[in-house]
Amino acid sequence: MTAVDTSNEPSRWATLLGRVAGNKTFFVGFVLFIIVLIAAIFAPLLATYDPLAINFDDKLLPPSLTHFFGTDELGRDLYSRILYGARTSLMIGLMVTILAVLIGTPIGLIAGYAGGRFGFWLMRFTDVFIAFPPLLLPIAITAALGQGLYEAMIALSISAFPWYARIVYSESQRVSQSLYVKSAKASGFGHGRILFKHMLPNCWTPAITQASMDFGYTILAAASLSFIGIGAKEPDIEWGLMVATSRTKFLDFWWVAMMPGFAILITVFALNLLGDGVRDLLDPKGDGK
Amino acid sequence: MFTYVLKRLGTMVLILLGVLVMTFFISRVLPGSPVEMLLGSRPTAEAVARVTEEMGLDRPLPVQFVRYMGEVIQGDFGNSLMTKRPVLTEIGERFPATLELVLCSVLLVLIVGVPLGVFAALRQNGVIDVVARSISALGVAVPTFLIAMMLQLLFAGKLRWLPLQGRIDDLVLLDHEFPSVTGLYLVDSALAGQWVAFQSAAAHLAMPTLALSLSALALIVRITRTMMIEALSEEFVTTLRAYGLSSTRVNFRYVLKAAMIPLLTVVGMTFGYLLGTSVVAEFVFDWPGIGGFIVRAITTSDFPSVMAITMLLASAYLIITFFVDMLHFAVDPRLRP
Amino acid sequence: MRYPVMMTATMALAAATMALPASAQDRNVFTYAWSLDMEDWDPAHAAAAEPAVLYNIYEPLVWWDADTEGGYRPGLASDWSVDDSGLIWTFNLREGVTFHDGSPMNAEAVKSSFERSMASDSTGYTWMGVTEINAVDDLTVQIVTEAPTAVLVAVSGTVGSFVVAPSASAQGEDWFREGNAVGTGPYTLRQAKTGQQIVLDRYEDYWGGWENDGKEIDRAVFRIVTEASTRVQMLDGGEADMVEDLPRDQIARFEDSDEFDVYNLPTYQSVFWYMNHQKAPTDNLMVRQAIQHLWDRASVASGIYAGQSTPATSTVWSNYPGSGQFDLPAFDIAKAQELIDASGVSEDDLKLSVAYISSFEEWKNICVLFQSNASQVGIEVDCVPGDLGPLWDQAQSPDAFNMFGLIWWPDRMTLAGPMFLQYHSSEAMFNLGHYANTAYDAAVETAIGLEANDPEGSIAAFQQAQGILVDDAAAVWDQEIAAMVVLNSKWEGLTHNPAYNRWYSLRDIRLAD
Repeated sequence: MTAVDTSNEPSRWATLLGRVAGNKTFFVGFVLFIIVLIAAIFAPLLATYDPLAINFDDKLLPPSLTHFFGTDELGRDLYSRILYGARTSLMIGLMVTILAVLIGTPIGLIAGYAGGRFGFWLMRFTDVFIAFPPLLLPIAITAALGQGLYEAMIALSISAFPWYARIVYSESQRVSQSLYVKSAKASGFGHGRILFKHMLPNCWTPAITQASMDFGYTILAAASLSFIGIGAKEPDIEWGLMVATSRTKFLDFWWVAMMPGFAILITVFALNLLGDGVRDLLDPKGDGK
Repeated sequence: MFTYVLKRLGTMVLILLGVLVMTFFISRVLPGSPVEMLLGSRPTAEAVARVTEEMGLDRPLPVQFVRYMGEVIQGDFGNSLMTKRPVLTEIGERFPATLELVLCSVLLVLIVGVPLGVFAALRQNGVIDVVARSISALGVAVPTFLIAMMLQLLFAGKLRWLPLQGRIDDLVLLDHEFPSVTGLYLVDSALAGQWVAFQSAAAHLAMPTLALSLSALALIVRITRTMMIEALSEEFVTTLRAYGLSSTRVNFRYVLKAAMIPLLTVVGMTFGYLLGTSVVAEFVFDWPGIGGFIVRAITTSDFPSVMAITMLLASAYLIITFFVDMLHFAVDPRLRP
Repeated sequence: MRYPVMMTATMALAAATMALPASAQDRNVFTYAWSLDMEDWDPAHAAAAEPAVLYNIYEPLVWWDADTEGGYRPGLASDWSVDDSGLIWTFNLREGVTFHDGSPMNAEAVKSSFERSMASDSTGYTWMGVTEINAVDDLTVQIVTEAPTAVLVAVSGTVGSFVVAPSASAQGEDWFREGNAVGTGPYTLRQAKTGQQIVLDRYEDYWGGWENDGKEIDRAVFRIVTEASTRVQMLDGGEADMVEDLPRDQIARFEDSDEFDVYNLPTYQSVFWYMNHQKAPTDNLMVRQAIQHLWDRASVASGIYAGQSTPATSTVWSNYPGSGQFDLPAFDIAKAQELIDASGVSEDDLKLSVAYISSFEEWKNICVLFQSNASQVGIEVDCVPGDLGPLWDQAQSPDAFNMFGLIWWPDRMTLAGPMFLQYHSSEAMFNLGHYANTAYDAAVETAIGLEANDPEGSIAAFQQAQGILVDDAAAVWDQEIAAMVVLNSKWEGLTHNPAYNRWYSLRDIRLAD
């Protein structure tokens, strides 16, 4: 459609594919992620028990052939719960990221495009949300919204969006000075069209890079909120919550805490490797491999 | 330079104001009116009317905000609903505990993380590099609470080497009292020569510090390594080597110095990062700092405490960022605008 | 490579710790990881779990004791009598008893202690019917009532019956609440840190004397540990000598160990869940009945309390003298569904909030079990864990929760305590179900009035009132539980008097031979 964003497209994709094959850590992350994804999508098929079914006869059983990961204090099957937990965690990661991108991108885009005082103040507004140490803002927001999975997701989105706004802002500042956007302005295109048709496609690569890097962190943060008792709550099936409720059993029944704990670890690990890979691919100039 | 500092200060004050607006906003959308929370059980209509007027809740929002700001500036954050004492007193008693934990973690992270990152960068794909990269990949993926629980299980549960939780053995404190000078137990007990108390404080500090450090360590190793690699690839390094300077000298004298400036930012970041994640570590280890306090405050709907701590930590975070920036420019005049 | 460095640092610290407090070994320190906390240090106000600590510091005039003829044995009063009219009680005080500040325990001290309680809004109820307290002479106290009243019940209870030094009483409630106490008991208060710990030291001049054989507790520490997991780990790691309220799943492990003794002590303790009569949908009788049928009390007993409790068969304690026995609703989802259908409450309104104290692990599991069963009839349950104090404050409002879990033990040896406090419509503090029924109020008032002169009539009236509660489905009467205490076996002599629930006399606990 236009010279800037399509001319090098085919060659770029080819390079991408080439890099995917050559990047070992990305590959490991990719495989692990696919496993988590399969667990999440096919949870109802793979689960051997109803994840919510309470059965006191089977409580606190160690991992075995009947209960692959053992059972918790209510006799619920941990393997099945962890599969469903994958759904929750991936859903949180996805929703929070999408929400944050949806809020952050337009703000950054408009601020960069409008520039001047308006842009300056818009960015100072987003700076307020960055002025908190990590986890603290979501904690404060959940305090107001109340405990719950959706509340935690909203809180995490609100604290993540400024980063997208910032990234898109710096890109859009640059792009808005480009000849190409200037000429579009001169041709009398409307602001909306320039913003979304001309500028957005040129600004989104760093946003996607950031999103792919944030995904794992978001899941970790959500699990931490649930762990300290202000995120998910029963009957939600969430890994952080599962670890939290197992704290009293930890000494004697290690699997109740370790199984969901390692589920978080593996998922976040996979997503981080994947994120690094995406960054390397989309932004080869970025920091090291 | 001077105008830059002023400008930077101005922005900081602006953002602090923004934080204030935000906490004010959050406190007004809270379910349940503040009056009800203050009066507790079944208040009489007169009592509600009196408190509504006292708190100025019948006035327009902007007026309420100015009032709120005035109180905050005077350091009046109200009383904790949980302990019924002034929030500021509660925070004052707890902040040194958080500070001690975070400071120790920052130190550990820097002492271990920076050299590890440097060596990893010098021998890319060497043994150290692989270790460093594994730590950094796993470290950011391990939930702080998981590592904390694993440490507890190992050192307190199985080996019984370290106390499970708390900041000091309170019984030791009864017999070996020391005056509070800095509020940091390690420093205060050492100053007073109370070595038994010092040992107890150190033993209590070990696990929380370790648990808190791991993810920050992962970040630092990673960033140091990247910066070193970038610095190593700069032209002047090659030039210096060509002049025949020893490689150790080049690496530590020049390369690390070049990497030092971005590293300062990283130290600031670590500080801020740890202030945030300390909440989880304090929760697991029942550490009597403000992180554990804010969690309890939330679960007990102690709103004044939550807001005050949020304000305080945000301010601390901003101030740290400010100083790091200033230091940054002091070290490298070229960066001054 | 660096990881080992961190390990080494940890080990060095650990090695340093192992050589720790030599001085602490000179005296016997006993640490109790306590799941509760002091709500109030003022003996005239304390009305919750405080007696567990306070009865080591303060003493009553008379102790209730099941093994004694007539049920009462001397405390600070050596003997007592009532005149023929049944209105004037006379207590002769023990000689030579001193308070921790050195002042003598005398009639004035008793008078000022009880009068403070009478004026208190939280413990004043225990003195209902008492018109005046007189110090006849230095060691004689007279309690005058307007109608025949069970005065021994009041002076031997756990609310307002503590004898406090006049110097302390004079300081007022704020002074107490800063964490101060002056009593006559075997232990003095050394330190009180809210939410952290309470330290008691032996009172050398205790009137009952000491063996001084090096086996008595010199210092007792109550560590406030709300997390059940932490209590387990402290016991395991030797940081605590005694622990209560353990997760039931872990008791077996301690039973099997030589290092610990598990005590299964009879108590009057019941767990029940108030149902809010003023908040929808629990304002509907059929919904309340449905909830009773959704409560799988048999599974709670076997699966959650692991056999340490039995499903309740009374609205108070079934093993308590005079309590009525009832065939309380059994778990029956089909029946519950019928009741819900008949209630006319629309499915959108079938949402319940259930509040409970987070430090009891079992309660969370009970709520999750209920949540799971309730979902089968379309009831959505929100479990709200929290600290007792704030939850309690919130529950004072009828809009707050649909259900509120509580454990109840006797405040005094009379059914009047629980029955008046839990459901009487004039009671503001403990009637967390906001229950109001004039027929019930009348029956309880009659029962209390007959208590002193017509015990049988009183019991009949109490049982009639209990019947009204059952008909109204006023609460879910869940479990009656035994006290499970795990004690490090280096200690022995743990005793428990069910009238003073969860108070374990420190003076009787000694190092084992």
